[in-house]
Amino acid sequence: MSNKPPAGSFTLLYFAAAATYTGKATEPLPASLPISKLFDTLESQYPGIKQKVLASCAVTVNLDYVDVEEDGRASDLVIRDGDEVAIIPPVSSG
Amino acid sequence: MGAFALSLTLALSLASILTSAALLPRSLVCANDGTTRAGDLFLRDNLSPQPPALQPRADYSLPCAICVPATRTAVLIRSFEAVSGTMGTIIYEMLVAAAAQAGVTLDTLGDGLVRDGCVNVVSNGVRWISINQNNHQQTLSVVAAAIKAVAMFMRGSGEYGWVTFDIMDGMNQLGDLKRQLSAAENVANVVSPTNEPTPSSGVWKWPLEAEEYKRYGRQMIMPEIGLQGQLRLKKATVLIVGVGGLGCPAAAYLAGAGVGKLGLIDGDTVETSNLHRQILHSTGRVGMLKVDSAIDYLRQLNPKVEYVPHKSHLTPTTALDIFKSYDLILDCTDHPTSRYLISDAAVLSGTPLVSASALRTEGQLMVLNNPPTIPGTRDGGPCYRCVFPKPPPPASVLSCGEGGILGPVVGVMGVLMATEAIKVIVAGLDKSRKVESNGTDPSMRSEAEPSMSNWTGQPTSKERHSLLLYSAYGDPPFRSVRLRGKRARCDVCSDSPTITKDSLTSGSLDYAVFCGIPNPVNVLSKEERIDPQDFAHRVSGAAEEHVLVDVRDKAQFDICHIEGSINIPITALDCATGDNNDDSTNPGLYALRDSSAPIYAVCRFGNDSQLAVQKLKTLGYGDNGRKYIGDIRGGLRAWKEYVDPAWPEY
Repeated sequence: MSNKPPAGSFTLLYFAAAATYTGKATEPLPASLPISKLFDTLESQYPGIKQKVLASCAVTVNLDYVDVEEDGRASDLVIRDGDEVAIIPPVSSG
Repeated sequence: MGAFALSLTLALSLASILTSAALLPRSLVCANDGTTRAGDLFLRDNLSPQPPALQPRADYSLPCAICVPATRTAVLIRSFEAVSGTMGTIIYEMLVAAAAQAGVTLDTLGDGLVRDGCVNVVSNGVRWISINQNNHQQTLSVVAAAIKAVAMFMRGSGEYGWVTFDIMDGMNQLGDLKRQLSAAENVANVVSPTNEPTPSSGVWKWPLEAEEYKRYGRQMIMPEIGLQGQLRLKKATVLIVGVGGLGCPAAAYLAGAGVGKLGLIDGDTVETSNLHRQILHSTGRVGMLKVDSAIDYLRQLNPKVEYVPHKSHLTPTTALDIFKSYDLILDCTDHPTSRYLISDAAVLSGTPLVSASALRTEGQLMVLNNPPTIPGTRDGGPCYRCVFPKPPPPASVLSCGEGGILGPVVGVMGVLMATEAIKVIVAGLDKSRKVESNGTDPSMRSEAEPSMSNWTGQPTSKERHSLLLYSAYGDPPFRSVRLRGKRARCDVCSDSPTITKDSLTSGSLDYAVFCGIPNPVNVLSKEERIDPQDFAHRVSGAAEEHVLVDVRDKAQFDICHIEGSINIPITALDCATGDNNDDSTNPGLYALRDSSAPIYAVCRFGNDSQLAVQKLKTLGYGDNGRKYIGDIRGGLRAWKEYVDPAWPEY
């Protein structure tokens, strides 16, 4: 996971249900990507993931929590080359 | 088992509020033979080797004794034999006020009946009786409140008076009694403003007991804790919601660290499948309430902590009432509904919350509502809703029973919760933010806690809020994510919240609806389903050629499977597209395509098998209806129940 992504890409980290759904813990995606398009990009790769997993997830960029969408307004943040983006579903069991 | 009783008499005067403290050990004859109940009252004159007769309740007089069953502690306070009438009423009111400050609930009807927490003005003074279940903190609070009331009275009136405490310990633990009395003297020293040092003739003068210096020394010698930190721990009240994989280790370390009061909430009983991770329980306690099992263990670990059992699950209508008695909450539950409920109640009651979860090989940890929200402001740490405003879709929610859990992974998360709890307590809880639901004036509350006057109460809003992620198989295994502060439109934290104390306590909030209820899978027609016993009959002795497809994950298939079945996990079916590529990635699918025999799908509980039948038909394995495809109703659980009792259910 700690390996650097190939040039021109960013690293996606999948946790919990996101890792289960994609079958991966991590993968590189091409940069740059507006964060507002992240979920659609993943949906095209993993049909159903948006509704079944992503809708309730927290998202971080370089270990900072970000709002992909707040108050109905899309974030204008852009994911850059070399960034690390994490998809963190709420885990409730214990 | 007889109860021990000790008396402590304090004589007070204006010149020296505390002039003497005498211990007068005295055994009382108590009838623990089933004929007495807590709160039964007897004239002391009637005490004899035989169980005393119960006196009519209307005509008792001082002095008296109280007989309690073996598991209870009673405190009887008698004072001011010389005062009555108006004076008695003044003292009565002071007692009630002091008790409220000490957090002791009193029945103030004064109707002459003897019951738990009853206080009466009688002809020659005031009598106050408190009975509890070995609740030493409460006992001390009662004693402290009475001393304080007497001191206040003496200061105001300039008169001389005295107060007597009879403390009867039903557990027959003399050590505990001595502890109570020595602590009572400490309380008296704290309360009395003109307190003169007691002559040092062997009298303990330190803020902790000798045993506590030994017990907690290894953590107290660290600068992070110190004596002040230990005193804060001792003063702290912590509620653990859920006594499972997270709650067990968290409770063990908090009890070990010496928190004053530890409440445990859980309505479940111990099951064998809990034991690989829920370390307070044991094989011999299967079937016992988890709360009882845990407290048994914790008492052995540290009898100095007060343990409070709450033997049912938390509900919206009771949450605030329970939370108000605690300084800090630990969410150790296992479902989104309880996570949102606990977070909402923590915000509304002004209580910090340590929240963690674990599934399979991963865990999450957050300290929420720290410092607590001040209503109508954005001051304070984020809550669970601020971080996860939308609950996960119900179908995606897996319990540990469904998804699996590695014992030490949830153990690590529970231990981390205890660490964070200790950090929050030792840093100094800002109790001024505690939302009192009983209307107590916070300033009086702080006066009632003079030993805590050195608490910093520093707002910690500049501290970063973080979400810690643990992945046992990750590299690195730990990641800490910086969280934002409160969400401006949070349903509970925002300026115009939709979730309020009223909506919570009225029961109008339905957390099950908010989080969604998973629909039971029922997608097949009657003809597409077969009961396990019918299936067994149909295929016995190879009467019918068939293919049995087990759609569980490979790990579960490898634990046990029905002889002759093949494994095509539902996850593999989900990805299948129906072309030849499938056959190369899963030989099982190739075998299906190649056969004209009917196909039966089976899984653990009979849900995935239905989806598998649908998917197989969609992929064309049914040969346009010419080939039967169905599932085994109720899965392998029903298989064990109706066909094979020797099936190893896991």
